Amino acid sequence: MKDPDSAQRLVRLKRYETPGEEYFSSFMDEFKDRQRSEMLRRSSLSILAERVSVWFDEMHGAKWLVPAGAAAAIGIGVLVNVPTVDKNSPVQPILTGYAGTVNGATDSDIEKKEQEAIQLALPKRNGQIPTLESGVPKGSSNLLPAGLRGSIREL
Amino acid sequence: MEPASTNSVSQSQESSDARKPRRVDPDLDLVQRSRQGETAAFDQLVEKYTPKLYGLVYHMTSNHEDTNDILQDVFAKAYRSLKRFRGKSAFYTWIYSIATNMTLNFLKKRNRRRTMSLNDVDLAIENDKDFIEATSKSDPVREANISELQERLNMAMQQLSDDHRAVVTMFDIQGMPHAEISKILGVSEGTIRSRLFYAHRQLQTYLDDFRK
Repeated sequence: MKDPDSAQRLVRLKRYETPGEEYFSSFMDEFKDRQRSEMLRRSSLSILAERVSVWFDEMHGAKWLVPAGAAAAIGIGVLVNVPTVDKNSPVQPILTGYAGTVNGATDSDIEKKEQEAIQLALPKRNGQIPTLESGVPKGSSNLLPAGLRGSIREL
Repeated sequence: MEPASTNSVSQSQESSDARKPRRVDPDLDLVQRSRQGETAAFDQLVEKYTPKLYGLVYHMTSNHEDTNDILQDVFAKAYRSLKRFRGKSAFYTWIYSIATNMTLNFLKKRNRRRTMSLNDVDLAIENDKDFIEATSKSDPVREANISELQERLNMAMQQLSDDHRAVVTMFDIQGMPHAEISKILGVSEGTIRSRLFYAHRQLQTYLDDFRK
Protein backbone atom coordinates (compact mmCIF):
# COMPACT_ATOMS: atom_id res chain seq x y z
CA MET A 1 0.00 0.00 0.00
CA LYS A 2 1.29 3.44 -0.89
CA ASP A 3 2.23 5.93 1.78
CA PRO A 4 -0.65 8.47 2.05
CA ASP A 5 1.82 11.25 2.88
CA SER A 6 4.05 10.62 -0.13
CA ALA A 7 2.20 13.15 -2.30
CA GLN A 8 2.80 15.83 0.32
CA ARG A 9 6.49 14.94 0.49
CA LEU A 10 6.77 15.14 -3.29
CA VAL A 11 5.08 18.53 -3.41
CA ARG A 12 7.54 19.79 -0.82
CA LEU A 13 10.31 19.21 -3.37
CA LYS A 14 8.98 22.23 -5.23
CA ARG A 15 10.84 24.42 -2.76
CA TYR A 16 14.01 23.64 -4.73
CA GLU A 17 12.61 25.61 -7.67
CA THR A 18 14.23 28.98 -7.11
CA PRO A 19 15.15 31.83 -9.43
CA GLY A 20 18.63 32.27 -7.92
CA GLU A 21 20.11 35.00 -5.77
CA GLU A 22 20.92 37.33 -8.68
CA TYR A 23 17.23 37.52 -9.53
CA PHE A 24 16.40 38.94 -6.11
CA SER A 25 18.98 41.70 -6.38
CA SER A 26 17.73 42.68 -9.85
CA PHE A 27 14.16 42.57 -8.55
CA MET A 28 15.13 45.02 -5.84
CA ASP A 29 16.70 47.39 -8.39
CA GLU A 30 13.61 47.18 -10.57
CA PHE A 31 11.38 47.92 -7.62
CA LYS A 32 13.44 50.92 -6.54
CA ASP A 33 13.38 52.37 -10.09
CA ARG A 34 9.65 51.90 -10.27
CA GLN A 35 9.04 53.38 -6.83
CA ARG A 36 11.17 56.45 -7.50
CA SER A 37 9.55 57.14 -10.87
CA GLU A 38 6.11 56.78 -9.29
CA MET A 39 7.09 59.25 -6.58
CA LEU A 40 8.32 61.74 -9.15
CA ARG A 41 5.04 61.53 -11.02
CA ARG A 42 3.05 62.44 -7.93
CA SER A 43 2.61 66.10 -7.17
CA SER A 44 4.24 67.58 -4.10
CA LEU A 45 0.78 68.53 -2.84
CA SER A 46 -0.41 64.91 -2.77
CA ILE A 47 2.77 63.88 -0.94
CA LEU A 48 2.17 66.64 1.62
CA ALA A 49 -1.45 65.52 2.04
CA GLU A 50 -0.28 61.94 2.58
CA ARG A 51 2.27 63.00 5.19
CA VAL A 52 -0.35 65.06 7.04
CA SER A 53 -2.79 62.16 7.05
CA VAL A 54 -0.08 59.81 8.35
CA TRP A 55 0.74 62.33 11.08
CA PHE A 56 -2.92 62.46 12.12
CA ASP A 57 -3.16 58.67 11.97
CA GLU A 58 -0.25 58.31 14.33
CA MET A 59 -1.96 60.52 16.92
CA HIS A 60 -3.96 57.66 18.38
CA GLY A 61 -7.05 58.68 20.32
CA ALA A 62 -7.02 62.22 18.96
CA LYS A 63 -9.07 61.60 15.85
CA TRP A 64 -11.40 64.47 16.75
CA LEU A 65 -8.49 66.75 15.87
CA VAL A 66 -9.06 66.15 12.16
CA PRO A 67 -12.58 67.63 11.90
CA ALA A 68 -11.79 70.17 14.65
CA GLY A 69 -8.70 71.35 12.81
CA ALA A 70 -10.57 71.54 9.53
CA ALA A 71 -13.40 73.52 11.17
CA ALA A 72 -10.91 75.87 12.84
CA ALA A 73 -9.11 76.43 9.54
CA ILE A 74 -12.39 77.23 7.79
CA GLY A 75 -13.44 79.54 10.64
CA ILE A 76 -10.16 81.44 10.56
CA GLY A 77 -10.36 81.67 6.80
CA VAL A 78 -13.86 83.17 6.97
CA LEU A 79 -12.86 85.69 9.65
CA VAL A 80 -9.85 86.82 7.70
CA ASN A 81 -11.66 87.15 4.38
CA VAL A 82 -14.99 88.75 5.39
CA PRO A 83 -14.64 92.54 4.90
CA THR A 84 -15.83 94.91 7.64
CA VAL A 85 -18.82 97.09 6.64
CA ASP A 86 -18.01 100.78 6.68
CA LYS A 87 -21.06 102.81 5.60
CA ASN A 88 -18.93 105.86 4.88
CA SER A 89 -16.63 103.96 2.62
CA PRO A 90 -17.24 104.59 -1.09
CA VAL A 91 -16.41 100.98 -1.81
CA GLN A 92 -19.16 98.68 -0.49
CA PRO A 93 -18.58 94.98 0.10
CA ILE A 94 -19.88 92.80 -2.66
CA LEU A 95 -22.28 90.87 -0.43
CA THR A 96 -24.04 94.01 0.87
CA GLY A 97 -24.40 95.42 -2.59
CA TYR A 98 -25.83 92.16 -3.88
CA ALA A 99 -28.40 91.84 -1.10
CA GLY A 100 -29.54 95.40 -1.66
CA THR A 101 -30.27 94.93 -5.31
CA VAL A 102 -32.20 91.65 -5.26
CA ASN A 103 -35.63 92.47 -6.75
CA GLY A 104 -34.91 96.10 -6.10
CA ALA A 105 -35.27 95.70 -2.33
CA THR A 106 -33.26 97.83 0.08
CA ASP A 107 -31.80 96.78 3.45
CA SER A 108 -34.61 98.45 5.40
CA ASP A 109 -37.27 96.66 3.31
CA ILE A 110 -35.68 93.35 4.08
CA GLU A 111 -35.52 94.11 7.82
CA LYS A 112 -39.25 95.05 7.87
CA LYS A 113 -40.22 91.88 6.08
CA GLU A 114 -38.15 89.82 8.49
CA GLN A 115 -39.85 91.43 11.50
CA GLU A 116 -43.29 90.80 9.99
CA ALA A 117 -42.39 87.22 9.34
CA ILE A 118 -41.28 86.75 12.95
CA GLN A 119 -44.46 88.31 14.33
CA LEU A 120 -46.64 86.18 12.10
CA ALA A 121 -44.83 83.09 13.21
CA LEU A 122 -45.48 83.66 16.94
CA PRO A 123 -48.59 82.02 18.37
CA LYS A 124 -51.09 84.74 19.07
CA ARG A 125 -54.03 84.32 21.44
CA ASN A 126 -55.99 87.04 23.16
CA GLY A 127 -52.85 88.21 24.93
CA GLN A 128 -54.36 87.77 28.42
CA ILE A 129 -53.32 85.42 31.19
CA PRO A 130 -56.38 83.52 32.38
CA THR A 131 -57.58 84.70 35.79
CA LEU A 132 -60.20 83.39 38.22
CA GLU A 133 -62.66 85.99 36.89
CA SER A 134 -62.16 85.30 33.26
CA GLY A 135 -62.02 81.55 33.85
CA VAL A 136 -60.62 79.10 31.41
CA PRO A 137 -61.18 80.28 27.84
CA LYS A 138 -63.66 78.33 25.80
CA GLY A 139 -62.20 75.56 23.80
CA SER A 140 -59.02 75.41 25.91
CA SER A 141 -60.33 73.02 28.55
CA ASN A 142 -58.82 70.06 26.78
CA LEU A 143 -55.35 71.58 26.59
CA LEU A 144 -54.28 70.67 30.13
CA PRO A 145 -54.91 67.69 32.35
CA ALA A 146 -57.66 68.14 34.92
CA GLY A 147 -55.26 68.35 37.92
CA LEU A 148 -53.19 71.06 36.34
CA ARG A 149 -56.21 73.14 35.41
CA GLY A 150 -57.09 73.47 39.09
CA SER A 151 -53.63 74.65 40.05
CA ILE A 152 -53.71 77.37 37.39
CA ARG A 153 -56.97 78.67 38.79
CA GLU A 154 -55.45 78.83 42.27
CA LEU A 155 -52.66 81.06 40.96
CA MET B 1 12.23 29.98 2.24
CA GLU B 2 11.34 28.06 5.35
CA PRO B 3 12.18 24.37 5.01
CA ALA B 4 9.24 22.04 4.94
CA SER B 5 10.83 19.87 7.59
CA THR B 6 9.68 22.45 10.15
CA ASN B 7 6.06 21.58 9.36
CA SER B 8 5.66 19.10 12.16
CA VAL B 9 7.38 21.44 14.59
CA SER B 10 5.20 24.38 13.69
CA GLN B 11 2.07 22.26 13.84
CA SER B 12 2.85 21.03 17.33
CA GLN B 13 3.55 24.59 18.42
CA GLU B 14 0.19 25.81 17.15
CA SER B 15 -1.80 24.97 20.25
CA SER B 16 0.79 26.46 22.57
CA ASP B 17 0.95 29.63 20.43
CA ALA B 18 -2.63 30.44 21.37
CA ARG B 19 -1.69 30.59 25.06
CA LYS B 20 1.33 32.81 24.56
CA PRO B 21 0.95 36.59 24.89
CA ARG B 22 0.91 38.45 21.57
CA ARG B 23 4.43 39.04 20.29
CA VAL B 24 5.62 42.44 19.18
CA ASP B 25 5.81 42.72 15.40
CA PRO B 26 9.53 42.49 14.52
CA ASP B 27 8.92 44.79 11.55
CA LEU B 28 7.23 47.53 13.56
CA ASP B 29 10.18 49.92 13.47
CA LEU B 30 10.70 49.52 9.72
CA VAL B 31 6.98 49.94 9.12
CA GLN B 32 6.79 53.16 11.15
CA ARG B 33 9.83 54.59 9.41
CA SER B 34 8.35 53.67 6.03
CA ARG B 35 5.11 55.39 6.95
CA GLN B 36 7.07 58.54 7.69
CA GLY B 37 8.41 58.48 4.15
CA GLU B 38 11.75 56.75 4.68
CA THR B 39 12.03 54.75 1.47
CA ALA B 40 15.19 52.97 2.65
CA ALA B 41 13.18 51.39 5.48
CA PHE B 42 10.59 50.09 3.03
CA ASP B 43 13.38 48.78 0.80
CA GLN B 44 14.54 46.67 3.75
CA LEU B 45 11.06 45.22 4.10
CA VAL B 46 10.98 44.44 0.38
CA GLU B 47 14.37 42.76 0.59
CA LYS B 48 13.28 40.71 3.58
CA TYR B 49 10.00 39.46 2.13
CA THR B 50 10.77 39.10 -1.56
CA PRO B 51 12.03 35.47 -1.39
CA LYS B 52 9.07 34.31 0.73
CA LEU B 53 6.46 36.12 -1.33
CA TYR B 54 8.16 35.04 -4.54
CA GLY B 55 7.74 31.42 -3.43
CA LEU B 56 4.07 31.97 -2.61
CA VAL B 57 3.22 33.58 -5.95
CA TYR B 58 5.46 31.34 -8.06
CA HIS B 59 4.05 28.08 -6.69
CA MET B 60 0.54 29.38 -7.26
CA THR B 61 1.17 30.53 -10.85
CA SER B 62 3.97 28.18 -12.01
CA ASN B 63 5.21 31.11 -14.08
CA HIS B 64 8.30 33.16 -13.32
CA GLU B 65 7.42 36.23 -15.42
CA ASP B 66 3.90 36.45 -14.00
CA THR B 67 5.36 36.12 -10.53
CA ASN B 68 7.76 38.98 -11.13
CA ASP B 69 4.97 41.27 -12.37
CA ILE B 70 2.60 40.36 -9.55
CA LEU B 71 5.30 40.84 -6.94
CA GLN B 72 6.18 44.31 -8.22
CA ASP B 73 2.50 45.22 -7.99
CA VAL B 74 2.22 43.71 -4.52
CA PHE B 75 5.04 45.84 -3.10
CA ALA B 76 3.84 48.96 -4.91
CA LYS B 77 0.35 48.44 -3.48
CA ALA B 78 1.74 47.73 -0.02
CA TYR B 79 3.74 50.96 -0.12
CA ARG B 80 0.70 52.98 -1.16
CA SER B 81 -1.51 51.29 1.46
CA LEU B 82 0.99 51.48 4.28
CA LYS B 83 -0.78 54.47 5.83
CA ARG B 84 -3.87 52.30 6.24
CA PHE B 85 -1.94 49.53 7.99
CA ARG B 86 -3.15 49.71 11.62
CA GLY B 87 -0.86 47.05 13.05
CA LYS B 88 -3.77 44.83 14.13
CA SER B 89 -1.90 41.95 12.52
CA ALA B 90 1.81 41.50 11.91
CA PHE B 91 3.20 43.19 8.82
CA TYR B 92 4.15 39.71 7.61
CA THR B 93 0.50 38.57 7.72
CA TRP B 94 -0.69 41.80 6.14
CA ILE B 95 1.66 41.69 3.15
CA TYR B 96 1.04 37.97 2.70
CA SER B 97 -2.69 38.71 2.49
CA ILE B 98 -2.10 41.35 -0.17
CA ALA B 99 0.07 38.96 -2.19
CA THR B 100 -2.41 36.09 -1.88
CA ASN B 101 -5.41 38.22 -2.87
CA MET B 102 -3.60 39.77 -5.82
CA THR B 103 -2.45 36.37 -7.03
CA LEU B 104 -5.92 34.88 -6.70
CA ASN B 105 -7.35 37.83 -8.66
CA PHE B 106 -4.70 37.37 -11.32
CA LEU B 107 -5.49 33.65 -11.61
CA LYS B 108 -9.21 34.38 -11.98
CA LYS B 109 -8.46 36.69 -14.91
CA ARG B 110 -5.99 34.24 -16.42
CA ASN B 111 -8.66 31.50 -16.37
CA ARG B 112 -7.54 28.37 -18.19
CA ARG B 113 -4.69 30.03 -20.09
CA ARG B 114 -1.97 28.20 -18.22
CA THR B 115 1.50 28.64 -19.58
CA MET B 116 4.22 27.39 -17.33
CA SER B 117 7.56 29.14 -17.10
CA LEU B 118 9.52 27.20 -14.55
CA ASN B 119 12.69 28.07 -12.69
CA ASP B 120 15.71 25.81 -12.63
CA VAL B 121 15.72 23.30 -9.84
CA ASP B 122 18.44 23.74 -7.25
CA LEU B 123 20.81 20.78 -7.52
CA ALA B 124 20.65 20.36 -3.76
CA ILE B 125 17.49 18.37 -4.51
CA GLU B 126 19.70 15.42 -5.43
CA ASN B 127 20.57 14.97 -1.79
CA ASP B 128 16.98 15.15 -0.62
CA LYS B 129 15.72 11.88 0.80
CA ASP B 130 12.27 12.28 -0.74
CA PHE B 131 13.71 12.98 -4.17
CA ILE B 132 16.01 9.94 -4.01
CA GLU B 133 13.06 7.78 -2.98
CA ALA B 134 10.85 9.13 -5.74
CA THR B 135 13.40 8.62 -8.50
CA SER B 136 15.26 5.51 -7.39
CA LYS B 137 13.13 3.15 -9.44
CA SER B 138 12.74 5.47 -12.38
CA ASP B 139 15.00 6.44 -15.24
CA PRO B 140 18.65 6.25 -14.12
CA VAL B 141 19.48 9.54 -15.83
CA ARG B 142 19.05 11.84 -12.84
CA GLU B 143 18.87 15.17 -14.76
CA ALA B 144 15.99 13.94 -16.90
CA ASN B 145 14.16 12.79 -13.81
CA ILE B 146 14.47 16.16 -12.15
CA SER B 147 12.81 18.00 -15.01
CA GLU B 148 10.23 15.25 -15.43
CA LEU B 149 9.34 15.34 -11.77
CA GLN B 150 9.29 19.14 -11.79
CA GLU B 151 6.86 19.23 -14.68
CA ARG B 152 4.61 16.62 -13.12
CA LEU B 153 4.58 18.43 -9.80
CA ASN B 154 3.66 21.72 -11.43
CA MET B 155 0.99 20.10 -13.57
CA ALA B 156 -0.47 18.44 -10.49
CA MET B 157 -0.48 21.77 -8.65
CA GLN B 158 -2.23 23.47 -11.55
CA GLN B 159 -4.96 20.81 -11.46
CA LEU B 160 -5.96 22.00 -8.01
CA SER B 161 -8.41 24.84 -7.54
CA ASP B 162 -6.82 28.23 -6.82
CA ASP B 163 -7.91 28.14 -3.17
CA HIS B 164 -6.58 24.64 -2.65
CA ARG B 165 -3.29 25.52 -4.35
CA ALA B 166 -2.85 28.53 -2.09
CA VAL B 167 -3.25 26.37 1.00
CA VAL B 168 -0.93 23.63 -0.28
CA THR B 169 1.69 26.25 -1.17
CA MET B 170 1.62 27.84 2.25
CA PHE B 171 1.38 24.63 4.28
CA ASP B 172 3.35 22.00 2.38
CA ILE B 173 5.90 24.04 0.47
CA GLN B 174 6.41 27.02 2.75
CA GLY B 175 5.83 25.22 6.03
CA MET B 176 3.39 27.70 7.54
CA PRO B 177 1.12 26.62 10.43
CA HIS B 178 -2.65 26.35 10.03
CA ALA B 179 -3.27 29.33 12.31
CA GLU B 180 -1.09 31.63 10.23
CA ILE B 181 -2.71 30.52 6.96
CA SER B 182 -6.18 31.06 8.42
CA LYS B 183 -5.23 34.64 9.39
CA ILE B 184 -3.85 35.37 5.94
CA LEU B 185 -6.82 33.93 4.05
CA GLY B 186 -9.40 35.14 6.56
CA VAL B 187 -11.02 31.70 6.96
CA SER B 188 -11.22 29.32 9.91
CA GLU B 189 -8.55 26.76 10.71
CA GLY B 190 -11.15 24.06 10.08
CA THR B 191 -11.57 25.32 6.52
CA ILE B 192 -7.80 25.23 6.04
CA ARG B 193 -7.63 21.62 7.27
CA SER B 194 -10.54 20.64 5.06
CA ARG B 195 -8.98 22.26 1.98
CA LEU B 196 -5.70 20.50 2.71
CA PHE B 197 -7.43 17.15 3.06
CA TYR B 198 -9.12 17.40 -0.33
CA ALA B 199 -6.05 18.88 -2.01
CA HIS B 200 -3.82 16.06 -0.72
CA ARG B 201 -6.29 13.48 -1.93
CA GLN B 202 -6.24 15.01 -5.41
CA LEU B 203 -2.45 15.22 -5.43
CA GLN B 204 -2.19 11.55 -4.52
CA THR B 205 -4.13 10.72 -7.68
CA TYR B 206 -2.16 13.03 -9.96
CA LEU B 207 1.24 11.89 -8.66
CA ASP B 208 0.40 8.22 -8.33
CA ASP B 209 3.27 6.91 -10.45
CA PHE B 210 5.87 8.78 -8.42
CA ARG B 211 4.53 7.67 -5.07
CA LYS B 212 6.11 4.84 -3.14
